[in-house]
Amino acid sequence: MTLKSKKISNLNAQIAQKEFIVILQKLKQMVQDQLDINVDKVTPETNIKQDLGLDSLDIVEILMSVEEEWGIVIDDSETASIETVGDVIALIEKKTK
Amino acid sequence: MILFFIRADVDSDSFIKYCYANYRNVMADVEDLPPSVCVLREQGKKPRLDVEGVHFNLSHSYGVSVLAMSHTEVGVDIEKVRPVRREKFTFIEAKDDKEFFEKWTERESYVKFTGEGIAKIKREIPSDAHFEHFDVFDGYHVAVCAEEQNLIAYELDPSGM
Repeated sequence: MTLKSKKISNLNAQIAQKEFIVILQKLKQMVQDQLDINVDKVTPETNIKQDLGLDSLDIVEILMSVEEEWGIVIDDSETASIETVGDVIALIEKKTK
Repeated sequence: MILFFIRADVDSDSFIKYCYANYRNVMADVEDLPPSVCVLREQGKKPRLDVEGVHFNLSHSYGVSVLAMSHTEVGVDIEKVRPVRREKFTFIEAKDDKEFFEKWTERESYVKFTGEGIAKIKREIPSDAHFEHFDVFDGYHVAVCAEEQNLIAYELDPSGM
């Protein structure tokens, strides 16, 4: 029995990992399409302002697209705390669960 | 108020200190400011200097930075004027990209003036807020929000940093 539950939890972790990658890919595509920026090196650790060189307008535009794509609403306080691509993914994961 | 422009990708704190050194020089006849400063950062608040009576605000866009420094509170925004899907920004009414960026920079300089930040970009802007607008470097637009005052602008040499 323990073995079985372990397998299931592994599977859940794998599904979560897959979801994460799907969100990351979608985000990368979004940034590439909208801002014409090379996203090859984008990882969850990428800092949106410093590494991608996005300015405030770009960030607001991307976040509006994220809201549309995933049907979520990002609050002001959440917007203010976003620094990395991983922060955006975490927010999407939290809001779509 | 002094607006400092630099055409280079610069480290924020180094640029702030570089601007302060220039501001102190320009202001030398008027006030005696300490030779060096620290930039104080607190989560959810505007960065500030550890000097009384010197306020600043910094903005970058695609290779250009601008810093406004004044004896009063200030907010500044620079944007490279570029094609934008304006229909997505329902809170801004503009007939073309030029007008869009004039309105956007005004909004952003206001929320940076108040310290609320970009998250409040959609808020209503009070009609008595004071703005100055500039077109600079062939394709960039700048708005400054502060109480009305004299304003001069300098372009700084990146090699002096």
